[in-house]
Amino acid sequence: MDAILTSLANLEFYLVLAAVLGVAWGIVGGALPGISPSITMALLLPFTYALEPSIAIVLLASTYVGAEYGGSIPAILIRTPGTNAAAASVIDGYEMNKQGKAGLALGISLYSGVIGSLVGLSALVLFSEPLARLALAFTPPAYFALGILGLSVIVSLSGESLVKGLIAALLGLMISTIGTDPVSGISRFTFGVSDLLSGIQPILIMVGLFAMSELLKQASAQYEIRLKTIPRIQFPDNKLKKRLILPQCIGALFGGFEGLMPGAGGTIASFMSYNEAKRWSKSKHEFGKGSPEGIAAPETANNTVAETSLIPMLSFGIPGSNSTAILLGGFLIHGLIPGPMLFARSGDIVGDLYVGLFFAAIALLFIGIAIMPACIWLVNQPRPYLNAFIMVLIMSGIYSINNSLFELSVVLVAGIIGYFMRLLRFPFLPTVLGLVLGFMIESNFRRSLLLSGDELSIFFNDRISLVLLSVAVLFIIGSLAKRFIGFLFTKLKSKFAENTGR
Amino acid sequence: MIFTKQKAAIFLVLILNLSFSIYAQDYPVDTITILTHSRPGGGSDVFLRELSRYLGPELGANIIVKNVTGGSGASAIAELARAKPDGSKFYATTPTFIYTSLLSQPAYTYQDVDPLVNLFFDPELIYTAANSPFQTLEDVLNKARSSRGLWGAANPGSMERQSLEQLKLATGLNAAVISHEGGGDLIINVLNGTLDIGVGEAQELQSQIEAGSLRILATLSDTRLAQFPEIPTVQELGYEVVVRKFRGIAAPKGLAPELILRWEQAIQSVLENPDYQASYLADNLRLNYINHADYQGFIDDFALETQSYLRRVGIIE
Amino acid sequence: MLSRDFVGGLVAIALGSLYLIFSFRQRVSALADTIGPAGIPKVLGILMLSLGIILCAQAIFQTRKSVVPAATEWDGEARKIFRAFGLVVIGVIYIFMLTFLGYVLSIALLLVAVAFYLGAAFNLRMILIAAAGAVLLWTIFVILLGVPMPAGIFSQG
Repeated sequence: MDAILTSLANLEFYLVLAAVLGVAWGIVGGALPGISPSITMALLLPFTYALEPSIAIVLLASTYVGAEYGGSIPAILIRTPGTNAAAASVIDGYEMNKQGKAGLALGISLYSGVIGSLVGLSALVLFSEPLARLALAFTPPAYFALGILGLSVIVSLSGESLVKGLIAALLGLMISTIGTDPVSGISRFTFGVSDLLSGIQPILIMVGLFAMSELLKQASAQYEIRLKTIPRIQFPDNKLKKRLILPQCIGALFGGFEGLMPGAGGTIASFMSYNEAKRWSKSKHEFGKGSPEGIAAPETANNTVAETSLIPMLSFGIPGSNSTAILLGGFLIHGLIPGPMLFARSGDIVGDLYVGLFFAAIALLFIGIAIMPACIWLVNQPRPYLNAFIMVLIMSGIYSINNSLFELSVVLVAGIIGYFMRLLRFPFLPTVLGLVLGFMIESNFRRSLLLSGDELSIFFNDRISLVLLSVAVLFIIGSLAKRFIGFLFTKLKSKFAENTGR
Repeated sequence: MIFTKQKAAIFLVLILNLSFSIYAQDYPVDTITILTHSRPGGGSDVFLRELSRYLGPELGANIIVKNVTGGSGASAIAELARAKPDGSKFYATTPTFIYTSLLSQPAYTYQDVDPLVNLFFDPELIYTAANSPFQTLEDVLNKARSSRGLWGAANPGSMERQSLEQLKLATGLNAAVISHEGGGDLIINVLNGTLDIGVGEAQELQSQIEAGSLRILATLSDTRLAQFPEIPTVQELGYEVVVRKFRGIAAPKGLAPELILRWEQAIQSVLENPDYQASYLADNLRLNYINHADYQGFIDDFALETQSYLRRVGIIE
Repeated sequence: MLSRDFVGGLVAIALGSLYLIFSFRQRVSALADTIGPAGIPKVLGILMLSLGIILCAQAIFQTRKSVVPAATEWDGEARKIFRAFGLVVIGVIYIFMLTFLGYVLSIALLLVAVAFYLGAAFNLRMILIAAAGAVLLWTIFVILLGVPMPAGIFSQG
């Protein structure tokens, strides 16, 4: 606390400038499909050598904040998630866009992103110590249970057919087994292709399934209908704001906790909070058809993650995600070693970081508003041109991840798979969830059994694991029961209709 | 192209209102990319970023560190092996690149690249949580004798993993060796008591050691470390396990002799730079310069030793 | 007429079987655990196979009860698939041309090809838009982000 006051008292212009520039740069990087928050940050890293330590660190951390928001812009406007964590916002964001409410969708995303940042920052500043202890409590069985809880969502996200949802999820899980085996280090399903050794990155499949398949579908569409969207950002009114409080709380909660866990990185929190927001919503039927709540929950979540993921990084010096690993690099460049001693030794820098992050949240709001009219103008262009630019943007962005033509072909193939999944009416979300969670589930399942000597009891003896697994089981039973009741109900209704029809 | 990468750099720097010096002497390319299989912030990554600060001006080129994390080094080796030998692309060697070559039989192996020079040996430490009951390595082994030993390594096919498998052989114990996705995961599982011990580099453990949350039990180096003179080597304790985690640079095959010479000279003068010396000593790196003529032999010996070991224990055919 | 679910089931069965075959061929290392690298894949493959069979069975059951209007199910799909395939071909050509023609020229051509394929009129305006778009993207990716995009044969470095 004292450090923050000291930092505020000696507030430097450059600190604020770093926050503003970082956010602006982050939004640009996040909005480009394929350019992840960590790449956006890594591109700045070489320039931070010459900067003062606190300016450098604020610049990098603000970039992360901006990128997490930036990812939602293409997700909403062109059905292309700019970042992994923005994939959940595609669902309702793009639907709202199709209804001509792109301005409002972006407004909700921005509003929720700023709230998520502020909530996450408060958690970072006020509860760093207890939350850091919580991060330590996560053991391999707990991670496994978390993954299972994430997968359990499939039962409710599957749409009309549970069997089809499960098949879609299995597809994602299968893709996640490609690459190096997490326990023995042997390669699996790589067929001698060295590009496959590190596995297939989720972003490639997401961009393929969501964006590329949409382009393929629209290849045969007629373009007479020109939908004019309101070319300015629209913030939610008071009534809508009230409605968004619950999904935002859910998003902040999941985001806050996921930030603590190494290796999670925001995607799981977005999907889980989307799902929970749907479950607790008063207007469930709107989800998937352009619900404002369906944007608010994941967007709050991924911006909260950007803040709370700093907790394990600062407290233990252990980066939980690629983005925080880059930030760790930023610390190391300046001879600062994050960890328990950082607060004691360089408290002033921690204070500057907190203050800088606050200005980053404020900057997010203003820069977000400023760039939005241009974004909306862009997507109001004639369809053939718009789609041509989307295709070029995808092809450029994906290539720039690893300069790999192979990854471009993966996106094309994923697009074809997505096209046929639509044709045969399979849902995408289970595939994405399976892909994101598959590696975490498998590696921690096997790690747990190694720890226990092949005793399954380890999953019930670990308290966190027990709680998470119980929730997952309850949830699956509940969703199945609801499905079954709904099924009986429609049966009865059709019987009734048959009888009265005569 | 009119605009080069340097211009791009200047452009960005101007935005940030900074001063920045450009190095443009007679090195054949403006930008050198050094690949590492380590994640940003990981051991090799930090080593490279620190080194490139001093090496860039010495060579007269900008150095970019690129993290190619796939397949425990297989992707990075493949990228290097396919690169043009024009002095623009290099790779930071560690034992991982040999282990991966032998264990996963990738399309490109250590034999497809040219080991250039070695700089350091990086000592590996066996550590436990400060609040664990284990005061010595023998305590850990006794636990493994009486019940079930739980030992952790950072990656599946890594040298740390191998050193623990070797310790199992040397002690005749059958402890479970659990691999992770990097050193960070491993430290957490040691800190929260899930694992008895972990193996890691001194550098990545530094902040935890200083804070007193980890206790070092032994070092896997051949002699005691200057930084921790009271910590015994595993060899002293009676188990024949010594780890030589080398840190060097490899090039694509066919690098011109004058470029090789240029690198040898640059690396040697960087190693004598007092600022860099202070930095690598603080990171517990132990100087072990090997020039190009000898490095090939060193790598081959290392690979042969590893291979015969892996065959002996039945891991590879 | 085959229902969509039935086709989906068949695809799942094919995919599951193929995956299962490769799982059984998986090499196992001595460093592996009890489950091994092939353990989870085998479970996934068997699940996929069974779910595919269930989906097929469901589809047959539903068609017999004529819940799905079968006759018009696939009308017009062939043309749509053909149109989508055309776009894939453009994408594949781009991938092959990228290193040869270089980034700027390739994306300019891709812009023209896709816009034309999707129904925009081929005129000067289109060429100008494509050229401007290519320069804009080149500025973003090559100048600002420093991505080493292929320079191609028409460039001297």
